[in-house]
Amino acid sequence: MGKPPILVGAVIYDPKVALIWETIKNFFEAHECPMDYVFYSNYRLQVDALLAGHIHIAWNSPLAWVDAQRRSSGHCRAIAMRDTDRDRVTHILARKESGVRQLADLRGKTVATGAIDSPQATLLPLHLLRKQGLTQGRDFTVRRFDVLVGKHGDHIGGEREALESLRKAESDACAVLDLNWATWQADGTADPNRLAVLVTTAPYDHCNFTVLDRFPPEEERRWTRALFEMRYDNPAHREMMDMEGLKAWLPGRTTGYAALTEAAAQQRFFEEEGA
Amino acid sequence: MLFFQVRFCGLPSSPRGMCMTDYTWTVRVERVGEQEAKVFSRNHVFVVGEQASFRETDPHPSAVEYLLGALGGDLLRGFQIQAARQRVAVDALEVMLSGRLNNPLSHLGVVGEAGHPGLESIQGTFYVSADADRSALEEMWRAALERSPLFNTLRRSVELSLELRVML
Amino acid sequence: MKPLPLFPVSTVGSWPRPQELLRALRRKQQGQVTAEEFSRIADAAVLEALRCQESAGIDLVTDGEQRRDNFYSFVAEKLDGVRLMSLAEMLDVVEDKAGFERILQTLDVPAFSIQNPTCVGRISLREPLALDEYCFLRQHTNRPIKVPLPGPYLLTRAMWVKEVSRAVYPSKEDLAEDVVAVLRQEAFALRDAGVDFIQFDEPVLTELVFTQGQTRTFMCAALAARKDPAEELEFAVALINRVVAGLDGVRTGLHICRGNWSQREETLLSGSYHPLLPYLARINVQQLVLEYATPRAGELLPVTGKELGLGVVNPRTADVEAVEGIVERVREALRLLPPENIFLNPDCGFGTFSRRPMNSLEIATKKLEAMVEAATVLRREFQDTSTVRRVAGALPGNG
Repeated sequence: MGKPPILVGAVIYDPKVALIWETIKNFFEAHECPMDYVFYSNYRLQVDALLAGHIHIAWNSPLAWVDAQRRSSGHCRAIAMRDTDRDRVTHILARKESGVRQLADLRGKTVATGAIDSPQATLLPLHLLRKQGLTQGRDFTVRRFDVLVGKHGDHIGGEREALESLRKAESDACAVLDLNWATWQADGTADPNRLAVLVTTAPYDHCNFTVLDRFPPEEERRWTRALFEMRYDNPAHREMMDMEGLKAWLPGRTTGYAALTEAAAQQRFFEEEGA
Repeated sequence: MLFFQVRFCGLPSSPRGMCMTDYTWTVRVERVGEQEAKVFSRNHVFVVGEQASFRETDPHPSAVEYLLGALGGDLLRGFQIQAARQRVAVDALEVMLSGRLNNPLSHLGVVGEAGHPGLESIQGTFYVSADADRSALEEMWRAALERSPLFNTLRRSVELSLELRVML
Repeated sequence: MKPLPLFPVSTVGSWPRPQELLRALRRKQQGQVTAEEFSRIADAAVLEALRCQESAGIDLVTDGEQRRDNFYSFVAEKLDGVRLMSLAEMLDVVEDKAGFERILQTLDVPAFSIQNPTCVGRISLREPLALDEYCFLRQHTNRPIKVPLPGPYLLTRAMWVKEVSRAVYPSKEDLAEDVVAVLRQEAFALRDAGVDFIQFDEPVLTELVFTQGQTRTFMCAALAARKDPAEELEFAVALINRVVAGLDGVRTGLHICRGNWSQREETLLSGSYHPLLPYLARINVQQLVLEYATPRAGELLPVTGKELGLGVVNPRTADVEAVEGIVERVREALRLLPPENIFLNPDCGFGTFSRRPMNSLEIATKKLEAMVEAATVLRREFQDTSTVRRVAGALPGNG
């Protein structure tokens, strides 16, 4: 009898995402590293499951990584991530004609953000503004779009609504992930002739595959070895990688979460969540 | 109707002695592959694929699609029967049905999801093009619904919202 | 060509059909009515559509596309090598049946009611596409006349049903050669007969951009594997420019909307025109007829060197736009364009598909009246000594 499958947790918001995981599962099966997936409705449940040992690996959002580290007292490892998870930035946009040309112009204005738990569209941009001397509530008002709360801004999570709010002049600025800003310019959702980038965060990292310290290193090696055999230049893998939004899997790193860790603490995110 | 029952129940010339209570239909379903089931129904055979599919293409219709198709076929045939009875020439008939699950994520076993994986509602449009007054067509539609086995089964547990649309 | 006032008001083309005409269209498709009888009914409908436009004060009139089942499938009656196939028939033939189902749901119509002109033989003009429509209208009005025609890219994509057409042409590009020839023949004939404005309809261009190559309407019957939108847009630009090359002495326009065949907003495309800007700037027509009365339209597009047929009323909504709102919309456009380059239009036709009119006759008429009233307000504001304007030679971007 072979080894039991490695259980990987994932938060899904759409049944179609399950199809991607089925394809990934078949891939691992073919590479002699059986795995199975367990789906969760939100990241809090997934981190609970990781800590309780119900799953071996959690496909975590950056905020879920921060949560897992916090609740395990730093006893987690990030074992892999996508190339697109590294060095992301968030832009804060304003309308060119509005007269908002620099950060100081946001005093007394309204900034539209994504969902309360979106690292890219809420936590990190608000953290950036605070570090620049602009405090939410005191210096500017936040108009938040709480879409799919619990899923940490996955599937855009309020970002598009925030952009629309800016476009319609209901807000004076909004926060968007750089990848979404590029996509929306290309498909006509956002008009670069009308919107400008006011400021950009420092680079940060996004999702990773998280394990607890006690996950056996040889199991980690077995799993990541199989994962890294997924290649974009292999036509059989390309569609799966396109659906998952990457060109390459990379080893996990944890140097890109400092700003988010600080932001979550400063904004008392986990205290307010009741965790 | 009573005469009908008396005539058919227990007559020595009737090989099976059929009564009203014998009007049930039975199908037999066999596994034929990892993702397929073969249905034998009288002299017919058809293959059912997934329970509910989220793919764009599949080798076979899903169980949910068969249910919707069955309802559509039932309604279309029922309307044709009513039209023939009223001697109304029908140029074209078509039904579009779409069904929504209460929570497809609970069908996928997502931990933490509320709701159930069953059909919550079926919404559809019944298109007809015929040389008849709208009121006559509406009467035929009403009669077809009244006599439809599947419509009357489903309406007891699923929200059915079906619209008759007359096309010129 | 007849002169037009400042801020001319026009329609995009189609108008709701009367019931008698819809019954006659159906009977014509079933071969149950003679051409003469159909013409009698259609002529009356055209005259009524004209009367509505003239009473409302429209400056540049159309025949309301009354004779057409929809804005492009009518070509099947006029071309050799083209047969009307209902989408129900096509469902049996095409490989991507699921794709067609998405289309039907988008359109919210039964498959049996939409006829697609399908290429089944080599294409040539058997009778004029719209010249007879124009000549009839010309006999009954002194006003300038606009004739809408399906654009070459639209016709090529619609007529190319790979499973059937490949027996005749090796590729849709080969089919396009004959489509361009047919449209040039028609356009020059219309020009020589004295038409004032030829508008080419290309709604598919927005599909290419806003759906990232994944087709949503049956007008792209070629449901091929996802094509690169940029490649298709270049193809479209080339075809349109070849059709209008040398077509002097008539105003030409290109109508691009996001689809106005359903009152269900959520089924229609949305997004600013700006991804199309690099292509529109290179299309050699004088006017772009664009929809801007819907929130889905995004920001106004700064296209230099061309006129703008500004969509200021939404053909699909029950509310009649306020005159002040229309005037304000034109004022926004005036930040980008001079007054003499702005026409007022609805976003699209009122009856793109004959069996799915987007509005009642009463509301459609009121919307025309609102546009005319807005134009009157604007003319008072901008009137200068040169009230007679715009003959062909002085048009911008005359290519």
